[in-house]
Amino acid sequence: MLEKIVEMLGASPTQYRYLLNTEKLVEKRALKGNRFVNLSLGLSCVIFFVVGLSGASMLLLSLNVFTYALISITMSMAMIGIWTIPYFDILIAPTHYPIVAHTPVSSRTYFLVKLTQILTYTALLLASFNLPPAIAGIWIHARESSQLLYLFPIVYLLIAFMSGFFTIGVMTVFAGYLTKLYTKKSLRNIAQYAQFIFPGLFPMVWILLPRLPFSLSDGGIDKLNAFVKWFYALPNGWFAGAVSLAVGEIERPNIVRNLILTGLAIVSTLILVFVPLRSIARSYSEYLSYLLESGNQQKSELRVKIPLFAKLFRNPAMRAAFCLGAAYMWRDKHILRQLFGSFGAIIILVILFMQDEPFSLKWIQDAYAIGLSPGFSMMFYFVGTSFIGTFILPVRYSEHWKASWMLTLAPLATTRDLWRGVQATTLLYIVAPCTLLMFCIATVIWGVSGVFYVLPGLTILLYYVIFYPKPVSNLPLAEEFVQKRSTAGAWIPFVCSALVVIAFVGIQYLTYLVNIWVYYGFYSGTVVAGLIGWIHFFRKK
Amino acid sequence: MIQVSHLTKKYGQNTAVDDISFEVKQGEIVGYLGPNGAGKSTTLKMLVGLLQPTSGEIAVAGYNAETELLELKRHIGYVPEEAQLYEHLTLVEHLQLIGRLYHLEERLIAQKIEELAKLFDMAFQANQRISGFSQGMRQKCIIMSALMHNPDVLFLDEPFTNLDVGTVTLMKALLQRLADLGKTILYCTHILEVAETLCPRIMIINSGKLIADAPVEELRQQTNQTALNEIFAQLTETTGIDEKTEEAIRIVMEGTPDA
Repeated sequence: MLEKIVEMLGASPTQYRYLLNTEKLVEKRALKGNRFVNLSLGLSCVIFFVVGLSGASMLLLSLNVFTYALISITMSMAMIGIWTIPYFDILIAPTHYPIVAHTPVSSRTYFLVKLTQILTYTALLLASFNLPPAIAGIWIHARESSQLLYLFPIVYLLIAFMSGFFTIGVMTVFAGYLTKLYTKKSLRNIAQYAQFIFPGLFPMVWILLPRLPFSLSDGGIDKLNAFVKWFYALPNGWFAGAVSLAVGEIERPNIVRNLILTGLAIVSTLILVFVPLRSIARSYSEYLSYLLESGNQQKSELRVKIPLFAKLFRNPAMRAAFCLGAAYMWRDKHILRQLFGSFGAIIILVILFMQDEPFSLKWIQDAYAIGLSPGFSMMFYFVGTSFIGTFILPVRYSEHWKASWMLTLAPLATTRDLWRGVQATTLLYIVAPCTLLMFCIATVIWGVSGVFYVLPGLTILLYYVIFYPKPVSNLPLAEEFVQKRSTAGAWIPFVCSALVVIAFVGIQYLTYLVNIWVYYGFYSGTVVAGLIGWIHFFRKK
Repeated sequence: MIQVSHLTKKYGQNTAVDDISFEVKQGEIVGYLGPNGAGKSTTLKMLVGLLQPTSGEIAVAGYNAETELLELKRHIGYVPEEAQLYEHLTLVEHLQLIGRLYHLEERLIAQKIEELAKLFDMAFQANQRISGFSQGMRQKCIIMSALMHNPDVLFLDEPFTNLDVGTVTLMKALLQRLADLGKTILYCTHILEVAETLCPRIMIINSGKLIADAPVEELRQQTNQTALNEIFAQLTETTGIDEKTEEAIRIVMEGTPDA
C-alpha cells in the first residue's frame, strides 16, 4: 500500500524501497553496539508517555469530547513539533546524498525516503504520547450520549497520528521553502541562518500549553469553552472536530461545527501533501546539488594568522585542539544547528518565564538570604550548561572523523591535552560570553552587587565543562557522525543542565536553612574553588 | 633505519600481513609493491603506529614501536593512501594544526606554511577551506603535512595519486634529494613506472607474504624480464589477462542491443 502511495506521489516505488532499506541498514551497522541511541530513544518515549498521562488527566475536569481531544491533540502536535526538530537534519543535511547524486534517482524519490525516515521516529513518539489519552478517553465519553463510545481509542489514535504527520508536513514545508531560497545566491546565507533559527519558531505553540491549566483555575470551564472557540481556526481544532464527529457527536448544535472542522482537517492534509510537499519534493535535488558545491573558490593572498586566544595556551597540543574546536564550532553545520536550536529553545523558555505569572520576572528577581537571587542564578546556570552541552556533546562526532588519524599519529605523550583544548574552546567561546552577558544584566538590575549573583556561575560552568563525559580516546571529532545518534541525544544537554541546576541551587538553599554562616562559607568556597580552577586550567603546561 | 622482524597482522582468521622481515638503511628509497589487498597499507600503518601488530618487532630510526612509540612518531612523516582531512579547516589552519601537534614554534610554523604553500603552488588557495579543494590539492596538503617537521623517515602510500605532472616531477626530484641528504623513504605504490625510476630496491608483497626483496637489476636477472610490470606479473602470478578482458567485454555487453 505504501508503494502505491509512493507511486501516486510521482516517485519510483522500487528505488524508494531499496534506498530506504539501505539507509536503515547503514544506520543500523553504524550504530551497532551503541546502546546510547536506543536508550535515548527509549527515554524520549518514556517522557512522551508521561506527558501523555498529564493529557489524560484532563479527564478529571469534566470536559466534553471536543475539548478533551483538543487539549490532547494540541499537546501532541506541539510536543512532536518541538521534539522532532533535530530530526530535520535528515532532510536538510542528508549525509549520503553524494553517493546517489549521479544515479537516476528522482528528486521526489529521494525526498520521500528522507521524509519517511523522519515519520518513522514521529510514529514512535506519537504512539507513546497518545496511548494514555486514547485509553482514558473511553471514560470521558461514557458521560455523553454517543452510541460509539467503545470506538474512542481507535478513532482518537488514528486522528492523533494524522495530526502528528500533519505537523511534520507543515514543518517540512517551512524547511522546504527555506531550501528553495538556496537557489538564489543572494538569499543563501539568509536561508542557512533561517534553518538554524527555524527550530525556535514552531515550538512557540508550546507557550499556549502551560497557560491552559491556569485559565482553567481562573475562570472555570465556561471560560475555557469560550477560549476553545479560538482553536476552530487552528489545525489542532480541526482534528479535534474530526474526533468528535467520528465518535458520534452529531447532535444539532455540534454537527455543523464538527463537519466543517473535519472537512478542514481532511482538505488541509490533502492540500499539504499534494501541493507544497509535491512541489518541494520536485526541487529537492536542486537544493542538494547546491549543498554539494565546493564553496568559495576565489583566490586570495596568503596570510598566516595566529588566533588571538591561541596565544593563551603554552601547551601546543592544547592550542592545536583549541583552534580545531573553534573552527568546527562555527563551520560544522551539525554543531551549529544544535547550538542555534538550543538558543531557540532557551529564548522560548525565557519568554515563558516572562509571560506566565508563576514564572514571571518577579520570580527571577526574588531574593533570599543575603540578597542573592536564586532565580537569576538558576537561569544563568541553566543557559550556560545547556549551551555547553550542545557543543561539547556533538564535538565528539564528525563527518570528517577519518581525519583523526592525524591526531593519532602525532607524537603526544597524552591525548588528554587534546580534549583539554576542546574544553578551552568551550570556556572561551561559550562560558566567557555567557558570563559577560550575565554580568552586564546583573549589574544593570542590581548595581555592583549584581556581580555576586554571577560569580558562583563561573565555578559551576567551569567544573561542568571539566567533568562533562569525554570520549575514551580523548580525541575530538574522531567518532563517526551518525545522524540518528546526534538527533537522539539532542535533549540530553537540557536534562543534564536541569539536574545540575537543581542540585546546586538545592545545596545553596539547604545551607541557608541550616545557618546563614554555613551558607556564606559554601558561597565563598564555591567562588574560591572556581577562581583556583580557572587559573589552574589556563596555566597548566 | 627501518627494521622489521617477523611482522604479522591478523584479523580473526584472516592474515593480512604474514611474517614479514626486512631492513631499510639510511638514505635508501625502497619501493613496496603488491596487488590490491596484498597488505601494503596494513604494513605501513603498523610501521607508523596507527595499527597494532599481532606479533613481530618494528624499529624505526632506532626506536622500538612497542616501547618507544612516541619517539618513533617524532621522527617519521606519513602520507596515507586516502587524503582524509578536517575539511572545515583552511590549508593554513590545517598546517598550523600539524605543526602544533609536532610541537613546532609558532613562528617556524608560519614560515614553513608560507614557503611550502608557494613551493606547491597553493599560496592563493591557502586561506580557503579544504572542502573546496580538488583531490590533487588535498594530496598536496597531506604531502606538505608530512614534510612540515623534517622527518628522518618517510612512509609514502601512493603519494602521487591525483597529482598533476608538474607536481609529480617536483616530488620525484624532491624525494631523490631527500634520500641524498640521508632521509629514508619507504614508497608504497601500484604505479610501477614511478617505482622503477625512483626506487633502486623493490620489495613485493602478495597475499600478506613478502615474495621479493632485491634491487631492480637483480629482479630482472631472476625473472628474465626487463620491464618491472612483467617482473611484477610473473612474481604475483597475474596471468590470463587476455581471457579476463574478453570475459569482461562479454559481461558488459550482456543484455544490451549491441550484444
